[in-house]
Amino acid sequence: MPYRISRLGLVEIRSLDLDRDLDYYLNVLGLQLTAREGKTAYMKGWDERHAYSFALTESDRAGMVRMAFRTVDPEDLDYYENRLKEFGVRYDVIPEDYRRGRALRFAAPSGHTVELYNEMEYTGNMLPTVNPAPWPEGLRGIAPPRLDHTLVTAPEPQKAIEFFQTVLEFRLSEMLVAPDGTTIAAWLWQRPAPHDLAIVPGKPGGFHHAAFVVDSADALFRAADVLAMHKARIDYGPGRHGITRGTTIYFFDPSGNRLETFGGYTAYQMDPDCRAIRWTQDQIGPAVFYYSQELNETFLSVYT
Amino acid sequence: MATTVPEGNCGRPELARRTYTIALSPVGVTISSTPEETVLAAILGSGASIVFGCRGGGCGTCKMRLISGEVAHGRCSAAVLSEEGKQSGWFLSCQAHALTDLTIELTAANKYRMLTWWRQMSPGKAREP
Repeated sequence: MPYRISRLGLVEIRSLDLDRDLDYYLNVLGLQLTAREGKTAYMKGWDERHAYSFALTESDRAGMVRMAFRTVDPEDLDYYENRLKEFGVRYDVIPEDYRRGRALRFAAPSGHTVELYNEMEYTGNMLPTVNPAPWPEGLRGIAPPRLDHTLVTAPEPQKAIEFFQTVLEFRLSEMLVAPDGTTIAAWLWQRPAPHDLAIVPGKPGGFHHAAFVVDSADALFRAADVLAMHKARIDYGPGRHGITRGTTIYFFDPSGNRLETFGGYTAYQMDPDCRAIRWTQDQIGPAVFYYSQELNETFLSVYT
Repeated sequence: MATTVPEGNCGRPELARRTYTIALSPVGVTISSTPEETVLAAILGSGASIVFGCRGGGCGTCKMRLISGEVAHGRCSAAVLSEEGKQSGWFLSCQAHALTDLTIELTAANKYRMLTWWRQMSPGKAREP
């Protein structure tokens, strides 16, 4: 089966105060501002080559507006449109959005707005395409190169997981399994990395976190330093997940949305025939926080 | 909705005081708070432990109920604190600042824990009931 989704292309979340939070995203997290259009700011990591991957919209609440996945080829959008029809999923065609082409928008059983698109304006990253340096100078804050994945909550996780597996053909990399065999949570992938999307139990439409890449141990500890220097609200870490093996820092933006630095450099790569890793419910502690070996109070209860 | 502690005390002399007392019911502890600190910060600063989450007004984990007194609510997600909720006395302790002396009704969900000895030894603000 070919890959048809190249990446988690966009996460849009809500901000209680756009001026305040934009300052945080640009100077502490260190994203690059593409543009501010009314109540929405469009941003991306310095190594991302399309116009934006992260949008922040002012609202009276925190949480996720939508997640969008970019297909590998334009034809893959037609392929998925047919699948949505085949499975009776109601969807809207969004002819265009900010610097982006046609998209399919639908609600997942988890209560989240999900979009598929292929065309977004190609802007290049912050490096020249001829004889580039390895990284650009003048970055601020943590300055992650790119968006990595998102984790969301669902009241019936098994239904949501099956939807992404069956309709959108995500593969399962890891899962947390109850003693009766029920899947409690799952990590799902399309590009050959441990996950593009993960689903855990919780309220409909809940946003647990969006993760940005940090690509070395040095960058991980530097990120923690930056957060502490700015008195940011660190939830957990630096640490490591048992699931995915990735390194992590969980922290909150000023509106209370959780973010993560994800160190996929310690994680594995997937092949299409890789079989899912199972974690038993009694091992949820090390599955999530490998070093402390137990969940903290906030992991399953605090999200927006 | 007030987002910061208003200057000029709204013409009310009782607001000119530098500190307010916060009585925590039913644990029977009274602490003090400055207008600059949030209710959550005042409770943690007293050496007690209490459950909280994002500290950004987004998740609602630190929600508490006022029995008496008045707070400035700050920026709170309408998804976790509605206007009706505010009318019924609910507030997010990570955002709210005391505008008067307060009495707060803690519930099991707040997970108030007694003072730790090392915080009592440091310049804390807890007082006997």
